[in-house]
Amino acid sequence: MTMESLLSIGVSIGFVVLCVLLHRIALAAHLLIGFGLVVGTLYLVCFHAPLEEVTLGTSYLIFYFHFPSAISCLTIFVIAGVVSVLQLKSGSLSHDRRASSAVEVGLLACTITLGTGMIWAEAAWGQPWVWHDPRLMTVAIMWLTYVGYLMFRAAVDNPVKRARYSAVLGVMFSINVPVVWFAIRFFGKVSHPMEIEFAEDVRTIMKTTQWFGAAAFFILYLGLWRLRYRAQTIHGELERIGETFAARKI
Amino acid sequence: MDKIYWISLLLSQAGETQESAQEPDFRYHVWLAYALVLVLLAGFTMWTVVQVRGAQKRMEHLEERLNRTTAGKSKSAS
Amino acid sequence: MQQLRALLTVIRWDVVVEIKRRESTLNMSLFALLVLFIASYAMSDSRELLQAFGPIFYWVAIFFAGTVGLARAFLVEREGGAIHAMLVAPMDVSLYYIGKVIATWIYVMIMAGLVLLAYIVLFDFDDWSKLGRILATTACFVLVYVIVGVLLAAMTTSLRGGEVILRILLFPLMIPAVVVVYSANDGLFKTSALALESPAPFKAITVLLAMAAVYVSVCVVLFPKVVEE
Repeated sequence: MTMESLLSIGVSIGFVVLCVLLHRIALAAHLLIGFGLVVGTLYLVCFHAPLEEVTLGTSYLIFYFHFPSAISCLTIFVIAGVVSVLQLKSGSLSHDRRASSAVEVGLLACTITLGTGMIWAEAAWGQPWVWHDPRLMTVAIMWLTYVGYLMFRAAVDNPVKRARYSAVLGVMFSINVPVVWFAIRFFGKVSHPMEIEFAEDVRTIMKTTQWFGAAAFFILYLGLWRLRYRAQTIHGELERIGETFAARKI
Repeated sequence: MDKIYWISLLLSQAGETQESAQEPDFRYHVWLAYALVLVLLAGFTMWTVVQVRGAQKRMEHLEERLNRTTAGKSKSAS
Repeated sequence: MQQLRALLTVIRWDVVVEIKRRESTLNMSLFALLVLFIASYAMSDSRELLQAFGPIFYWVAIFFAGTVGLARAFLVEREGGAIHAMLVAPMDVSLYYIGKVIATWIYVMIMAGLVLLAYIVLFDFDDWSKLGRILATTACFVLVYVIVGVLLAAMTTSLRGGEVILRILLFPLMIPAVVVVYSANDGLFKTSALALESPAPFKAITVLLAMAAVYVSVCVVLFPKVVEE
């Protein structure tokens, strides 16, 4: 165990603890901290990260906003899958709201990943989309999958049924993601990965900016998850009041 | 030097300079990507906040209506 | 033993209903034939085009036509109220799911057989030695397809716009299977000497069976959750 690996394990555990603690502070404060950290990443990118990379030139800077969203998107969809399993076990509506708000925020992160990815591809490869790259295809398919999930939710009226069915879909879709990855990685045609070379002297600052950005975006997405959960809770209560009105024939 | 680079990026428009003639210039792509990210994040947040506020107002209105109807019924019953 | 008999009863019931009504198989086959007709006509200029792009349309036809059959998979149960009967029957609900999967597989395979015949005729395919391989790969592909499709059909039959949503949900789940099957296209359909020796179809069959095993173990656990009232 090197000093570096111990340090990274320690930082990761500290980060997880921080994320759990953030849920205790007010939502507005959480969102402000999140946005502040994102602006901080922007500052780091503008004034501290090296401006050019060996093969990609200036366009590699997009990586500092593309990578955090991609990592957050994957993590949030995994969280959504876990919460879906919990929903199937407990049958509670609050778990369903947590899962679906996680999917909504994950879809936002996915959209940002795809958008920045396409702009970067246009800059680096001259075309906004290429097939056969496992990462691109997995993210695109994830996007389609979870848009379908949200469309499905919109079509079911009964909240209990919607919760149960969405949880089933959530479980299936989170299993699907690694299956898609492995299928494309081993059965897709030749891919041209986009590699970033870290020159020795600037490696540390590049890595620091990269992971600071990842932490910043993840904290912001957690805040947005809480915000969407609140919106879903209020909509759930509106539905319930609507049912009361209908039952009493007001 | 970095600050001067980014300030010149803000101020300068089209027009080939010495350095941009030698290699492809991706600064506009970088700005576009960052602007897209910030717009999407801010837009999503504002949309949800507006939705929550609207829903809260509707909730208050409906609860008030429910209370009025319940009060009216109990009056007529007694 | 009793469970096995119950399973066979479910399969027999579903197949008998399908033989009597003939709706799903006919609708699916016609749809697939239409796709192949249009594709074959569009590429009728050259034999090279037909042979190069034909395999893609073979899989596309099965893929899209299959959704027509899946959408009707639970229609009879919903119409006749048989869902309640299924729930109170002295049979594991997961077993009912497996029976449904096998029955749907049977009639989607009938459709696939007709598609293969149409493909041989319309796309000028004459390599008879490859037919076994093509049928085996198709059988495994359709197996993965119905395993996932029957679960989704159970969820979407009663929704408004359910058929469209079934397709939207099914396609991303089927993309790994499509990628695997496309990788084997050369070994299955191309007639060059190199393609004959390609191990790709057997690799594809193995991976498809593995995928089927993973999906069936998940879906068997999830199906009771879908049908419980």
